Amino acid sequence: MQQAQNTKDKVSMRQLAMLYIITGFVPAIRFLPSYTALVAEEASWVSPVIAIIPIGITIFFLHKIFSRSKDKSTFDIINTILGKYVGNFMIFIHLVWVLFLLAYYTRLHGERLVSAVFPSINITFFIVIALVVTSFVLRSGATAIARMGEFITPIVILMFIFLTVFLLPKVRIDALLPVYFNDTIPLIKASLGTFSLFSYMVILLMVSTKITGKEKTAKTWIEAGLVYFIMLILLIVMTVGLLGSTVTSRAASPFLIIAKQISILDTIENIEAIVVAMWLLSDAMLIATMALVSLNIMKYFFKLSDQRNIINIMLVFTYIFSLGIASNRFEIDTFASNIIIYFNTIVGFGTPALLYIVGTIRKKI
Amino acid sequence: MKRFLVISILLILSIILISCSQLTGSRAEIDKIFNTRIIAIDKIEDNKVLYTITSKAGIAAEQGQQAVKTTTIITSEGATVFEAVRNMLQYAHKRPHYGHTEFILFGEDTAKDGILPYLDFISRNQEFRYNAKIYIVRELTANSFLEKLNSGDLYLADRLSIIEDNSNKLSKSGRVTLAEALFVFSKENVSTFLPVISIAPTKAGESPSEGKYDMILKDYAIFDQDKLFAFLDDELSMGVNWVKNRILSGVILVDAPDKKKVAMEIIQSKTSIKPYIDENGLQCTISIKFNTNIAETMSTEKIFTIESIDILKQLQEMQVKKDVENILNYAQEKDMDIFGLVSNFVMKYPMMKNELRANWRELFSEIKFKVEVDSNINTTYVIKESATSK
Repeated sequence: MQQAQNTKDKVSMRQLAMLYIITGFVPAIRFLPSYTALVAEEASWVSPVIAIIPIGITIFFLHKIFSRSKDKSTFDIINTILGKYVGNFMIFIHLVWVLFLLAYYTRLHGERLVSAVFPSINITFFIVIALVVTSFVLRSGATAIARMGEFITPIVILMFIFLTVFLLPKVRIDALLPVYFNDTIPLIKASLGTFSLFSYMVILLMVSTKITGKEKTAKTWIEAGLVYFIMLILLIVMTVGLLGSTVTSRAASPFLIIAKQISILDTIENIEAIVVAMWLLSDAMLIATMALVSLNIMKYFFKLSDQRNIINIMLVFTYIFSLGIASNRFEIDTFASNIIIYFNTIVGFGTPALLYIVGTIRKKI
Repeated sequence: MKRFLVISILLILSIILISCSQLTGSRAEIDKIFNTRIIAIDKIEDNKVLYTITSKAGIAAEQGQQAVKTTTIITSEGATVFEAVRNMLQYAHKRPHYGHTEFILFGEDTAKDGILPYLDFISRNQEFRYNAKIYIVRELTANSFLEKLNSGDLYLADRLSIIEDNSNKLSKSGRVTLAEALFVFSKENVSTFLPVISIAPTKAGESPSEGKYDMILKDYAIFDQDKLFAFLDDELSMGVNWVKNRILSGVILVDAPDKKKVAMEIIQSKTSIKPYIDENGLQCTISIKFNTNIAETMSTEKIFTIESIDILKQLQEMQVKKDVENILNYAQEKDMDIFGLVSNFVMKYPMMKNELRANWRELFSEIKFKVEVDSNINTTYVIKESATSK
């Protein structure tokens, strides 16, 4: 039984990278064009490039930490480097944060569908559907979710490329230029948006205790990062280039707005269903992945032999928390731009940096 | 057992999703949906909104007769556009759906008061698309424009769509989408232009037909922020299209040596704008290159000689230069940058971005323009000489 459970948990670093592309792309579509357009206006599309520097440093830290601890789980590595008490405290902070993100993204999944596609449907309907699906998926274990990621990520990328082909020629250059030295400060601030999304990489490393291919950490994440960066730059170029920075910064779903403008040879229109399909597939992966990370941390933290026993309890908690997290969309948006972005940045950069510095001083890596 | 349970749940959910109107309130049968293609917005007394929507309502033809293609028009009133939309549901025979809205019309008086407050609902509502086109109705309310034109020869939206496509052949107007309009309205100190439609009695012989009207799409209306400022005439509107690189085709009339008209058809055109700042202040060179074909000559002179072609070339260049200079002078007199030239200057001088944008109204009127026009006459059509040339 235990052996079967272990097989279900095996995930390769490459699969994690694929999962990252899809889980990072959902919040990017919703949040990045509006946030970067508000902060950096025409220059917003350059902001992912600025984020490459801190992300490169983070990948370096992670490679140093993980490549020399092939047989240890992320939790073991944290405890080895920081010691039992501080390490467990760090893991606990991550648990609280991931549970919060799980509830937040579950709520956003419902909010987005209600505000953009189905305005007259009760949000709980979408939240319950998402959690029921997640409940079934979680029972299959990390390996099954990672394989789902391997299958769904290329589909989502292909959908995105398809939309890009029709949207890119409509982009207005005057909406994207000028970019100059006086944009440096806004660009640094806007790059925080991209970097905060990169923090999910650290969270994903807790998806399983059996991660293989750690020796290729840097190579795998640089490759995935490049694909992700290109997608982010195209995403911002298309939204800001078509709507302008002012309209983009005020739009709740700018990518859906521009997708609705696609007309193929003045004949085929209304293909925004592709965007909705992208949302649903990516949301399903994001929620399932966050739930899996939460379960895995809880399993480690509470020394559980089988995490399946707590799936339903956790999802009921997620349901209640997702509805109670905010009373309306405005509160959620304020919360995202005032708290989540900064906490993500601290977790995303702080955890690897702390582990690397302490590990180097204590000669544990 | 577990698999049976999962399949049962999925089946139940599927049945609920497709048939339970309580749960999915937005569900509607296709024959009960009013697919709106044109919406018209007018401001009426007490600051209320008159909201009009149209859709196809063909009446089947009897044997040997042509089908009558009338358009169903529904109107509603409200304190805001949204209230008018909801008030309409009290008597509309079908549920309006706005996902296929192609045209948004504003009456002249409404446009003079500003169109942005009315665009808020359209840009916010999840059913509308940002590629819907905006038009300003001249001398009428948008509602009466639709009512007068609904004669039954062609669906109104089809009629507007055909005229819109045909307008490319003249380049005396154009199309502006909701996305483009919002893009410009969001810019400080920049004006914009929107195409104008109007009606005129249909002529049968020399006298107008009783109760029948033609839909005319020509000219631009220019806006100071979101308020209608003035209507441009044919030549000024074409001047706008030359500067904005929106000329697709068109006609240039020049005089042959015997003062008879020669019609040139514009085949290709390209406008480039080069802004620069020097000790003389802001300057801007507008370079236009275009090609034409000789489409018609009413002259009996031989105009297809090298010398005559050169003269025609110079004449057409002078004509275009005059159109462009006229619209530039007009815009500068009114302190209205309807061309969005601030973007060209900001792109060239990014360090001056804030200063240029903040003071653009004053700066725009001080720009010294230089218009350079270069053209070529490519060819003519199936006969080389005039059929009546000497």
